Amino acid sequence: MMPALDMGLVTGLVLAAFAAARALSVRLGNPPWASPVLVAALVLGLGLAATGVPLARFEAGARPLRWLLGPALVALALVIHGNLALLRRAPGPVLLAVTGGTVAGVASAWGLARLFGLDRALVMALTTKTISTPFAVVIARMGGASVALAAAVAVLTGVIGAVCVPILFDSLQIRGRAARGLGLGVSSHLVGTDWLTRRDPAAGAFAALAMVLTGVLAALFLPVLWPFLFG
Amino acid sequence: MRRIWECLPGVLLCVTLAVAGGVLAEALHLAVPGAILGLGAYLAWLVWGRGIGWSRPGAALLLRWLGAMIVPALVGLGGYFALLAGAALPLLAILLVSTLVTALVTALLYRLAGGVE
Repeated sequence: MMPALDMGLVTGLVLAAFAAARALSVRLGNPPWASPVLVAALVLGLGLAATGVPLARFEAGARPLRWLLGPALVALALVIHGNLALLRRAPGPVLLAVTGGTVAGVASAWGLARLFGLDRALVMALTTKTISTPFAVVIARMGGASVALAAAVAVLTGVIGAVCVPILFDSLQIRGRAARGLGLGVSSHLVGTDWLTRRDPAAGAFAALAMVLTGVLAALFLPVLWPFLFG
Repeated sequence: MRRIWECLPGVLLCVTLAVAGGVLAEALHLAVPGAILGLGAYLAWLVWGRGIGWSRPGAALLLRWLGAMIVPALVGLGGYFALLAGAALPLLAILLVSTLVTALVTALLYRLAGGVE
């Protein structure tokens, strides 16, 4: 009875916190730093600390939500299908850009992390930074990396990218919708895509497509690559 | 109430495909998350199949709450506080540099490959 009660309570609390954080983000004009995922996690984390509820009990209660991540990932096929026309228009350049960008994201994060001599758990999490959070979590869970670190690094990347990448593109005069959308989608996934879609839906469509393609691509090659990098 | 009935088939389809993908990946010893196989199957069905429209409301509902499903993973970050605090500056530097490099490589490759705008 108790575990079931915990599951119901935690699921309800997480959904309520996320809905409230989303409403707050809309009110603030959807700034990247007020990512609903980040705000909801912060509120719940502080709540746990204040009430003294052990993290393990919360995590056990969150099992149904974690389990639903798989089916939600399947549903992301809708995003690829909805933007298939963009892929069909220029399949070669889109796939080359997404593949090259993903490889650059994984390689640069891994190389820099090794250069700084970071802890192995952090290096591993950093290799999933350019992958949108749901994919990063599923890949981390499968490859034995820390799910919490992978999620945190992915969300932070999205926030940093949504703020900084548009400035970089403006200063280098990269103005094409496709190039900007793909660049933001691969590098800053969900937060970046969301930010762009609100300002320029046509460019946002490219970002959404790139974000999901990056996730699928990384899910195919990272679990194979990890044993060589961290074996 | 009507909305629940509208969404149920799509949610059930995504659950079924995710579970089936997991079973398949395990049976064939594939190093791919099962949900990715499910995603591929659903995409193939959307592209080539017929009469899949009934699945859309449910799949869209799952996508709407996708963020909430990531929240528990982030709450678990509390256990890594010391590790993160000790590497905060290099971590932020890596995130910034790597994200800018990734965006630039993607945009430039698209241009170089002759992508249309």
